[in-house]
Amino acid sequence: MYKMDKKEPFWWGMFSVGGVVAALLAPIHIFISGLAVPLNLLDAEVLGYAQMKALLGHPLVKIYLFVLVVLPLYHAAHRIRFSLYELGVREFRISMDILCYGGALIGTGLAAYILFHLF
Amino acid sequence: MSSDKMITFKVLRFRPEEQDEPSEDTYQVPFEEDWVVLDALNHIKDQMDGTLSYRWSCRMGVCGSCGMMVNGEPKLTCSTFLRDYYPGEMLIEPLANFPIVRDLVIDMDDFMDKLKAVKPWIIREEEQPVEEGEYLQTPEQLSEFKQFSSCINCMLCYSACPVYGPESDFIGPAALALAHRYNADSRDQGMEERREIFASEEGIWNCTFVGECSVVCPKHVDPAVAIQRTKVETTQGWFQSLLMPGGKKK
Amino acid sequence: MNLHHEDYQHKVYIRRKSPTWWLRNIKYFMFMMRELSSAFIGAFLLLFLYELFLISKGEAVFNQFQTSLRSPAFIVFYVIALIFALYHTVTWFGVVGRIQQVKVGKTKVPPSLVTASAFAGWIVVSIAIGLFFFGVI
Repeated sequence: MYKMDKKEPFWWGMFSVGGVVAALLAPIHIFISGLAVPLNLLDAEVLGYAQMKALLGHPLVKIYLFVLVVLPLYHAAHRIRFSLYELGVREFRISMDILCYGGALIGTGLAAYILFHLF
Repeated sequence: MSSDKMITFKVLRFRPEEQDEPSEDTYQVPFEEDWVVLDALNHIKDQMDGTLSYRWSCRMGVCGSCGMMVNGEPKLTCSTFLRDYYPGEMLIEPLANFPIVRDLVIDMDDFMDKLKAVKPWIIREEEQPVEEGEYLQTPEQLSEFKQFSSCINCMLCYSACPVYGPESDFIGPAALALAHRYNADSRDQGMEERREIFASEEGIWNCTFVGECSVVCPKHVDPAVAIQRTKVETTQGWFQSLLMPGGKKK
Repeated sequence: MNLHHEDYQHKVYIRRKSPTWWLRNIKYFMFMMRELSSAFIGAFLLLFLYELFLISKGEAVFNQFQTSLRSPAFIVFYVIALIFALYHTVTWFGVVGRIQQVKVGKTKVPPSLVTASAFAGWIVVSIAIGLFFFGVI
């Protein structure tokens, strides 16, 4: 009747780790990327082409950015999946699950390609 | 009566033999400083409308019988004071998320099934012989599970939980907190057996940590925390067995 | 285990839950906002990833996009995203003390202290990253 689910721990683990990364890093990065320059707290050159290109040459920077971008995607996928359940999605659960986690997987692939192949 | 103050009670009524849908009756009830909602309901039943049906027993917050929705929130009516609402109106409805049998009485079969399903008893591989005496526990070992053993099965948490409901198979806060109570008990050896139930899709994984269950619990059991700890433990065990196959599980 | 009317030998009334249940009270609404915060964080990170992608496309393309990010519409997005991200941080670290039991030797650390430490850690990390952009480079 009840059967232990063998896949959920993985997704919950990813949700959990992604949640920690998001909680720690999202606010400051949103502020720096989007608001620091318009608020005249930061020179536009700091986030300019030359600086960014130089930064993206460092392997450590690439790994940091990969963790920053990818892990919260799994956090979001998991939360969106369960929010859909709570909003009444009953019929297309499996398709919705695939869309959510699939999106995170695609984001992972894109991040890997951009960070490690294009730079 | 000590005063002429009155308070309006709107009560959901459902008479299955006469109605297909619930209706609402309104009563003007005396307002007394020291009355709780249960006092008002008993007054209605004794003095005004003997047909009103509802559950209650100890009237002191330990039996878990008198749970109802008071102005949209799940409460023990024996512990909910009129003075906290007066002069506003009181709306009394049966506990949310449960089928209505009659008036304020809900069907709790599903809840009882789920409580039993998690195997809420000490499971041992082998019983200690009587000659060896009791299973001893340190105060630290007791503190690991004591809080979660305070549940009075009042079902307020099931009413507060947006995941649980008639269309959901979710095992629910109290049952999962009870499972954790036994998993965390040093005398118990049944976590692996219980895992099939609590770590199923209908178990801990359905919970999204809304947290309202813990907010409404009159006994401060904190089922939300019990479930999250179970998720952490189950996930850690899953990753451990992935990286170290053949490791012994509890 | 599902409850269906047909399972009952006596007649019961089952109250259906509406999809707007979360608008009923402020606590359910704030829960939904907490869930929604993950979508805004995700949206920001994908936007950020796109910016990184444009660096590989060359200076002209990158600069053009950077200029468009200074438009009012994007600024509104960043403000909203920041508010949601802060709400996620606050709600996330707000519960770690209750869930994760921390012991120093045999003494249990009170949950509020665990939570306070987590917030302190967040502030330190944020300052460090901030300094990296504002000071070091």
